Amino acid sequence: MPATKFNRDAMAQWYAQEHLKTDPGIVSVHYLPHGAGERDIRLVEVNTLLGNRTDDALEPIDFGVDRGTDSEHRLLIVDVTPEQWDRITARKLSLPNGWSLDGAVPYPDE
Amino acid sequence: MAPFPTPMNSYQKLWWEQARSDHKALAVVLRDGMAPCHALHYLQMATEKLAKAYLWRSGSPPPKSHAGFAKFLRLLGSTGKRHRQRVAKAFSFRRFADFQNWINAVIPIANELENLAPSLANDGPNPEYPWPHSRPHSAPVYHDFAVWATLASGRGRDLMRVIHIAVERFPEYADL
Repeated sequence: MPATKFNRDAMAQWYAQEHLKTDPGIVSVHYLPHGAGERDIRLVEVNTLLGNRTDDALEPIDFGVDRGTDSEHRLLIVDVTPEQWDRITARKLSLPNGWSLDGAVPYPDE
Repeated sequence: MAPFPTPMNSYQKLWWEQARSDHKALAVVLRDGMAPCHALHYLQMATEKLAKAYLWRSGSPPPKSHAGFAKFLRLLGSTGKRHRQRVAKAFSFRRFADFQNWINAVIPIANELENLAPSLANDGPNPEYPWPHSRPHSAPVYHDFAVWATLASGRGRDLMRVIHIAVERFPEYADL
């Protein structure tokens, strides 16, 4: 895997800002770098357009991006309702295995 | 263990297993960051086969057409009162009304997915073959599919997530 020219934090910020700008249901994006692989970008996106759900849907979609280039990375996104996010922050609902709120970076800034 | 394991007939099982395999291929293609045409191809095939697995519940063959996924969603959205909670739960919704609202929101994407099949693409953009057939000037691997941008959005990701759930939990609602 290429070892240079990849700024994970900057890339995560770009994704967060793009998704907030272009996706009408997304009200906040939370970048969760703690415990993630060097080229894994984990985002939780809070979406008001999702229907009320059971917690079974709390599963990341895993997109590989820029494979074979210096900026190769994996983008892992979990979409949650505002109610699910409240329960996640209250530690009443678990994130996917290995994901953590420690060091979470919110967009827009809180 | 599934909360409502139900029997499915042998035809359904064959179509479901193929849909599952196509869906697993989709996950690999997504993770590896391959050209979107490949993800769209497997997604279109997995959803078509899932729909056919469901339509086989009568024991009679469904039409050979590639169409079916949108119909499959509409059929589930009109499930009789007796089984509504079971369907909602299988698809990860708390209330059947939420599931119906979700179907209404994603049906346009489901139609776009169906129409990607080469036989429905009117000799135009499709994820498998260069087009048009007689004098090709475009290839799927270079094409910027509009539906891909939709699928990568929050609502599209939600649809992909529910498709995953629908495939894995098929035995819970196969008989309805």
